Amino acid sequence: MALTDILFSLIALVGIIYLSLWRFKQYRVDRFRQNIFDVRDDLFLYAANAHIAFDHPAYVALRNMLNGYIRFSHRISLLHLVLHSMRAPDTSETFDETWRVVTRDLCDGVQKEMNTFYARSNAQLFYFIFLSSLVKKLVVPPTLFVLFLFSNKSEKVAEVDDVKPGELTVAAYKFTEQRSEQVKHSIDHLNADAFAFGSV
Amino acid sequence: VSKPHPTKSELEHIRKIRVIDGVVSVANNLVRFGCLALAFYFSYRMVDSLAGKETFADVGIRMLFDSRVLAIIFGSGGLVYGLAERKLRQRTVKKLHPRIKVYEQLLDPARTSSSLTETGETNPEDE
Repeated sequence: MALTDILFSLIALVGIIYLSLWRFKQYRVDRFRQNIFDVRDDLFLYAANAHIAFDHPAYVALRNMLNGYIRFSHRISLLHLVLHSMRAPDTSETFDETWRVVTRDLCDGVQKEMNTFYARSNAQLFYFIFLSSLVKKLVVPPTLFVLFLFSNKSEKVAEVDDVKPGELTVAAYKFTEQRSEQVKHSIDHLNADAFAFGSV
Repeated sequence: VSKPHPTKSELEHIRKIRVIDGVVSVANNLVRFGCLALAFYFSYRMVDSLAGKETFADVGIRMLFDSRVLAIIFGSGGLVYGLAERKLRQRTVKKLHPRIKVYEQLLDPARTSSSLTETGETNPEDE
């Protein structure tokens, strides 16, 4: 091996590290932001079509949470989620509780639609944290698949029936949320933080 | 209107978040710069092996860090990154352009179009 080979190897290695740990990380953040923008746009159009008022607490709460995610998505990662779940339980109310309160007075159809926006946002967060990188893609989907195979038959049928085309992430999120209180609570804590910071 | 002062519990919460941010930032930088340090270390080991001080480990490292293999990984990584960014840009154009169109048509009902596709690509009919 000549000295030039070593030099080329070093340049290529530094390039790979830069691509994977800097550029791809930034790309994943941009992609997550765009996904949340999509949810926010659809929510706006839903309100613009007079299904819900722009000043309704449910609309304001969800929009603030989405704004928080768009603004601070560069500060969300799997490690953030793990550390959030390790910290002492917060005495302040969670976003799930806030959400239940603000959507209480909505009629069934609107409530269902608003819950869908909320679930889409959670699913995007789940994808960003658990599935967006190559390493996570190699580990998480096979694990979920094995868990799915070992889940009981009636649950399996209900879950498969519920999946719509193009909504595999939502299904993966629901599947995980139902089995892991830890993940559910951690995502709820992140939602509460995003809501608080998005309201500023 | 002045902003209300944060309560003690809010300040405590912000402090906790700041601590978590700090830990994550340190961990991220450790991984990033640790990887760079390893790359330089292995290159140094390869130079060492050139000087005749070669071990089995060096042979393994040499095979693993063959410049052609790395060049392929680097090249394909860059290609994937470029394609992914392009797809994201197309998606953004597809999402934002209809709104611009609506607002421009409000000002100019006779607004004409370039007839590009919704993602900003050349219209297949024009090819």
